[in-house]
Amino acid sequence: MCQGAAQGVARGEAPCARDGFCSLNDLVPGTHCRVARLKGCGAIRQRLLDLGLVNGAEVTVIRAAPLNDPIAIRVGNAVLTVRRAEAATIEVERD
Amino acid sequence: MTEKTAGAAGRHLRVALAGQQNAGKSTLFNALTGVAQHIANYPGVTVDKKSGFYIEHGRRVEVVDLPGTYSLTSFSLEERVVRRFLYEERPDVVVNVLDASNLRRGLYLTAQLIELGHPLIVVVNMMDVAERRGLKIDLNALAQKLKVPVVASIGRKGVGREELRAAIRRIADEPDISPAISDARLDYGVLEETIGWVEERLADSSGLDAGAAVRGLAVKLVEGDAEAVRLVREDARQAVFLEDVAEARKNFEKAGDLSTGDHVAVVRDRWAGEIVTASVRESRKGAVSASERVDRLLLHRILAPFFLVLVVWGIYEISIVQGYELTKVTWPFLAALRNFAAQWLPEAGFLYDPQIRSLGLWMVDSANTLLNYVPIFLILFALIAILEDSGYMARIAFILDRILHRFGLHGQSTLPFILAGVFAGGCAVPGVMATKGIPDERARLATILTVPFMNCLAKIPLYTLLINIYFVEAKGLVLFYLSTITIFAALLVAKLLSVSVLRHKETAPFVMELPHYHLPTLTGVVRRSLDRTWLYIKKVGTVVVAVSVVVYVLLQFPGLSPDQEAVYEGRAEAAIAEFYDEMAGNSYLAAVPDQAALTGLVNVYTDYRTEKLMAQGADASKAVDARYETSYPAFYPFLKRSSDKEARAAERALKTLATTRKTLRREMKEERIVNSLLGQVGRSLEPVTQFAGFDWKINVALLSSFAARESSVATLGVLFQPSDGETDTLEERMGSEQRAAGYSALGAVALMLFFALYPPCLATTIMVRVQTQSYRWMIFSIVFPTFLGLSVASAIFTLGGYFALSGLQTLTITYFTAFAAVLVVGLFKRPFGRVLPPPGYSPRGAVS
Repeated sequence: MCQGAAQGVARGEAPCARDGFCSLNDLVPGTHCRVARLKGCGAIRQRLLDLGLVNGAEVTVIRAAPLNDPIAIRVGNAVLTVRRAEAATIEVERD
Repeated sequence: MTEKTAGAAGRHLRVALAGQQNAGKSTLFNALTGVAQHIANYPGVTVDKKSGFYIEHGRRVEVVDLPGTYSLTSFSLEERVVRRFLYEERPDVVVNVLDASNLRRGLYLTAQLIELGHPLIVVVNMMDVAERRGLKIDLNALAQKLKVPVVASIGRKGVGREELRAAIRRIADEPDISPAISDARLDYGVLEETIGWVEERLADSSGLDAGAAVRGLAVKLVEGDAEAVRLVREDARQAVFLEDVAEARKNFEKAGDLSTGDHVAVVRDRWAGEIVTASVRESRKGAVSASERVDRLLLHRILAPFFLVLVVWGIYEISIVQGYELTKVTWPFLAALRNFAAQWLPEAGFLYDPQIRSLGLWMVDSANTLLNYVPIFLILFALIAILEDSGYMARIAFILDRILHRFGLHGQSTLPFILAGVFAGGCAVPGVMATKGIPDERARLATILTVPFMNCLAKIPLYTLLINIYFVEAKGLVLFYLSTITIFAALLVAKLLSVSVLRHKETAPFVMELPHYHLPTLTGVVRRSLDRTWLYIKKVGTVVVAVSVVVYVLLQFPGLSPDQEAVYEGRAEAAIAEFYDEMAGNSYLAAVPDQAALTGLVNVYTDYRTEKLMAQGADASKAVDARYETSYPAFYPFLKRSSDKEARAAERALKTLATTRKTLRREMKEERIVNSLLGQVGRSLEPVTQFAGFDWKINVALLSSFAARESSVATLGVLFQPSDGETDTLEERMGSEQRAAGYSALGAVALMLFFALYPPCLATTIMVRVQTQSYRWMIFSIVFPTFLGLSVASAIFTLGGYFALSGLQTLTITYFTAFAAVLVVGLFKRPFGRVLPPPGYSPRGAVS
């Protein structure tokens, strides 16, 4: 259920491995999706939940920072930033 | 409890403002309390406790502005502070401030506040913003759903303030508070059964009334919240029952893919969603907001860095450069303060000043050095408040986080570095102060400890002095090297610290809101600027004045030996005798019948010369003349050069005497420093510092610069005295003396690099203490850079000498070595770069 951030970022994992599921990190700006599962633990997980990234929440990737990391996403009416390492722990389902 | 439930008029009332960041809580707080505010710290932590009050119908209403939080878990410091305050101090009314344009997320916190069981008022703030974005909010529907009073407000315009005060009054006037507590209940579905029995067990064993508060605690226990578990564990009777809760939690997680915490969060979010659906109508769904349109430009992948550089340059230009111009306007006031003190203190003697006079002036000078920067700080803090309130500050963090994160820092470390002087000229004190906002404890400490490496205003004079002696041909290049090598040093040290001493510190995920752009309010900006400047004066000023006394003592004692005193007295008597010789037969001699009058005359002469030098323009100069003519009619012929033959002779004689006296006093001062305790320390350090090429004079200057950086050049000025009325500048004197003693540009490079890495000045270390709440970090911030600086300076001086390199060659090689190290750490993966220790989360995380 809770795998920790380290596994989440493992490189080489094919994006969108499960049918229609991939991590938020793999999406290009402009993509809409829904949160399917949070893989992070502890403070990261709680913080994401508190900011509205609960299961089923609608998320839009807006842009990446000039150096590609972090990314800006829209959740509800708010714009949030997450580092790619954290985005990789958010499993999403594309609309 | 009983006295609060009574809540009769005339009683003291305590209101807590809770809400998420960027919901406009502080603006509302300002509107409620006006100027009656007070900022303190919550015990043991660095979180600001802001409180204020207003008086209404003879009742004093205290308002506490709690830190902005998104939730009430125990994962972050702010949330723990808010929780503890609400649990332990039990305010009479909790006011929950919501951002009208983002109700859903705000209500997520409201759900948790309801479960705490306090009398609650919900304020829907920033109604104007919501309206502009096409949101229509039905306040009655909201109040019905939440079962608490709801007030609409526009904090920045003061709209809704009276309604809020009235709502608070109504709750306070009720004889019984229970109706004021919302009985809205969230349905936790599959978890209800578990929550139900936990609630029963809690009510049974603790004797608490089964009410909202108990249910709230039950939910927290089922979530597995560390703080709630601690609270219950303190009661020994309930320890067993906690295991049952943990068991139930595990079973739930086994059954599905969700933790209890996830489930609770989903329920709260869904509850908030339902309320929003029922009470908000959105007429412009899908439209691109104004903030997004601005961001498309300001956060554009190619343009963003240019805007960032422009903003940073703007801050630097307006606050440091223009602020420095402003200090030229304010300096005369401080100078007047000093003159006032000089007049008020006992008068100077011919050779010796009364101790109280020297000490008094020394203290005034120390205070003035700091107060001189006040205009710069006022501007700087105002600009920062504008950046914060407008929402651009969060975007700076967004743009730069990637680079800074690799070195163990945080996107929000940018501001402290800018303040401390990324370019030549800043101050580490506001830099350290500005680290307050960094949510990640490890990155925050790394920032605090590396901010002093930046080039503060006071390091510049020493750089300039040495560059003018040794690097006349390459001034610009050397200054460029110095101001950028400090950034490399800061990055490398930050990385080093975060993989070593800071390894176990709590870190926080970089999940941050990019708030909508707002126009800052004038009162908000001015207040913050004044508050922070005042904090600087209060915290730093007092300590610096106190320590300046210690440094004074160290520099003055034990003083001159009787033999030395006799020599100086002899020379002074000879000079006085010469004066009387020259004045023999001169009619103006009547003005100085005795020694005391002569001392007075010399003092007046010195003051007169100083004022003439400071007077700008012919008119001001004439005004000085006129003033002295009326104040000292008998002395005036000695002061002003005139065509009268006798007066001219008198003026000449006095000039010679005054010059001799100045020389004598200077020599005595030097001798006193040589003999002083600090001088002895400087000398005893020579065996260590010789490897860096520092002699005892430089040691003394560096030691005294700990009190305030500025004094390094002043002390060097005293130590490299012209011996017989030479008029060379300090550059020339130091240069020739040092060259004669075998010093070189290499030594200067070692000295400058040491000065760049040297421990923060006293004021900064005080601020480190304030910001870390720890003397250990304060001492670390002194010891570590000293060690580092000395190692670097010794390595450079020794190696440079061994390979017979010139100063510039050594500096260039050092610079590119540092640059290469930064690239290696920043760009490459293990074993050199990138790897930060795993986050040391601690749910209760006591901050030491």
